[in-house]
Amino acid sequence: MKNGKSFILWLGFLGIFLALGAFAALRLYTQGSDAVFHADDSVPWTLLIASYVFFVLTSTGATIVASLSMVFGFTKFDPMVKRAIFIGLISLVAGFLSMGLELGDPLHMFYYFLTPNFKSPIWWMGAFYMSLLIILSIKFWQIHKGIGSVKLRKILSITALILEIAALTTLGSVFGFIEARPTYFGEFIQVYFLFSSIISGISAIFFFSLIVYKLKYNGIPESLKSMFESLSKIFGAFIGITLLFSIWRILIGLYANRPEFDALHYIIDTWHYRVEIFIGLMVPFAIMIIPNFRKTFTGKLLAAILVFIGLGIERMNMVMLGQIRPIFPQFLESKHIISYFPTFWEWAIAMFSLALMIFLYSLGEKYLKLETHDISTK
Amino acid sequence: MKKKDDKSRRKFLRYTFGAGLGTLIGVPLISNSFAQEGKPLSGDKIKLLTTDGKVIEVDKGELKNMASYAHPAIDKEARKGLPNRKFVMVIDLSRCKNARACVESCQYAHQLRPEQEFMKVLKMQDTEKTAPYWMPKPCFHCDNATCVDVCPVYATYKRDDGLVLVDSNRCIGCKYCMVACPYEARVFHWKEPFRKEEFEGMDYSPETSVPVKQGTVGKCDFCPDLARNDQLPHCATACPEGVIYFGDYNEDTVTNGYETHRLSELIEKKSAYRYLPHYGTEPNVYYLPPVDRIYPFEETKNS
Ligand code: SF4
Ligand code: SF4
Ligand code: SF4
Repeated sequence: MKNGKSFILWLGFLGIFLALGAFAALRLYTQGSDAVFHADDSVPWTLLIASYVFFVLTSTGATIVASLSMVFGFTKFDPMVKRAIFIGLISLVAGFLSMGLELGDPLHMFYYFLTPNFKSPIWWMGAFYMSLLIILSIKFWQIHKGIGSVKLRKILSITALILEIAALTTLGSVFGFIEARPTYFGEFIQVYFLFSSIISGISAIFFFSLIVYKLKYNGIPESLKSMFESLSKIFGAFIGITLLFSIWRILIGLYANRPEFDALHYIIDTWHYRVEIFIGLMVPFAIMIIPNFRKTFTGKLLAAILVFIGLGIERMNMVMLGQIRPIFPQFLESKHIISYFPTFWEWAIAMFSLALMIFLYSLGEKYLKLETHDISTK
Repeated sequence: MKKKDDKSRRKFLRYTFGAGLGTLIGVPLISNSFAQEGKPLSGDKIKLLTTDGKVIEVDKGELKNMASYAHPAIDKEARKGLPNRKFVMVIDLSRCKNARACVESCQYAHQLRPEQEFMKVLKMQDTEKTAPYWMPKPCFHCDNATCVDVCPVYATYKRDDGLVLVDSNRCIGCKYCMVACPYEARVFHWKEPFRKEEFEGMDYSPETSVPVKQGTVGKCDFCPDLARNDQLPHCATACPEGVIYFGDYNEDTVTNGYETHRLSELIEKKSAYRYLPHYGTEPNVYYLPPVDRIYPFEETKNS
């Protein structure tokens, strides 16, 4: 009973953020975009695009990690597969929420199906992520109900993995294809998205499962310790690779004498950029490579939280980086950096997505038996 | 260029517009218009411009009636474009003094808010040491338009006559086109549109871009509704200095209402150039270099 009460209280707490976000959405539709957004033509993409990128990359990351077991046969990771797929699903839903609220006219979305432009990266990105939503739902349902043959599951898992890679690299191309904005770093960003997506996914898996284990068993159950140890090593390695990419991104930007990179010079001096690099990557990397820290429960949870927050801020910095310097050259005033920082309401909607994800997770943990160790068919 | 007084220009424009853009801007069309031998003269005289910039007077009866289009097109027609046309604009940077008449007339016609500009006049300066100049910048109606490529729903599209238009009835407001356009030519309708009552009940057309729809994207449309009626765009007519020429690539002719030129001659002899060609976008707006300026550069109250 006590448990039930605190669960309701917890949902109530999340409800505050959900209500605030819903209110922001209401403002958007009753008062117009300028009541919520920064509303500047030079910075057309706001925090909500960053939020979308964050959640969908978390989703692909979590499900790519799930494929370690489902595609590559590392049965050691079986115990986290169901949870990882569920995180992938709800994170995708949270991402769609942010994107839906970023769109100026979502009611026209039916044209997405009616008059598709196959040349548009954003069209393909949408197609891949929507297909992924369907495939992941089926996969989750199969595991949940213990149905479907091994062969069918394998085929679905391989299809999902291909879609995941396609989706996240296409998302990278949405930015990378913009020739006039070199600060989106072309094809570099696609590879960066792949690695950062994996750490984003692992951080979400760690975050949710560690908290659950703490509440249920006051720590990681003995039988799962070795799985978490292996995951931590993968986590550490990929944080390192992401960090390397981030450092090279700065160096390339500083080395290139192009005026567009003024934006990079500007952004590396901001507090949010430092949070991204130091708190979001360096500290967790240190935690994960020092065994004494890595092996502790707190070390893992802390690293997961820092990466989760750091990447959230990284997505914002990334989206800003391409836009805060006007790209039309020869216009002397364009040396100025546009001062963009998300508005309160943009934050409210980003938090709306996060709260929705945590809300759905809480329900899932309670009603969907996410802690299923055996994922084989009955 | 010798500046004519405003009154005579307006009158002159009225005559030429009455005769049609075809006759206004093209020798071939003008010669076509004389091809009607045996037609009785009406006695009514009308003034026409030739490509040499000469004004000639002809009898109305001698004119062949050029195609007159519906005003403006909606649906399918608005997606096709005017047959056998390829619209171009030439902007003479040596004449611009930031009068901003182009900006304001365009804003008025397109129901824009004061902070929204389809035509922007930028202060340009190539290096610290070179003289600054004003640069009117509309949409370049690129032949390889990135905005068209990236639009997921074909709300932005390219027509046969070269125009790149936005259909607000289809735009989902993803703003990808705004981020992808290398010339920052696009404007988002963040806020409630201005003068709503005035435009209420009007049929929306991508050719007029009105009534404005909040939450969608807009941009310079080259005023195809006016082109359909053989008229110059608002900005070209409004400019007191004749900075903006409009015309047809296929006819190799552009005019600002005072003067008519061969586009090929402007490119060859006056070094007309296109902006940032290395993006491969193939713009349909040409610039005449800001040399031999008529007005010394001045920071105006508008800047
Ligand atoms: S200038 Fe920009 S908006 Fe206009 S056609 Fe070219 S890419 Fe599109
Ligand atoms: S904002 Fe509208 S016109 Fe621009 S790419 Fe998106 S749907 Fe197309
Ligand atoms: S051509 Fe028309 S839409 Fe474009 S700037 Fe001129 S008046 Fe505005």
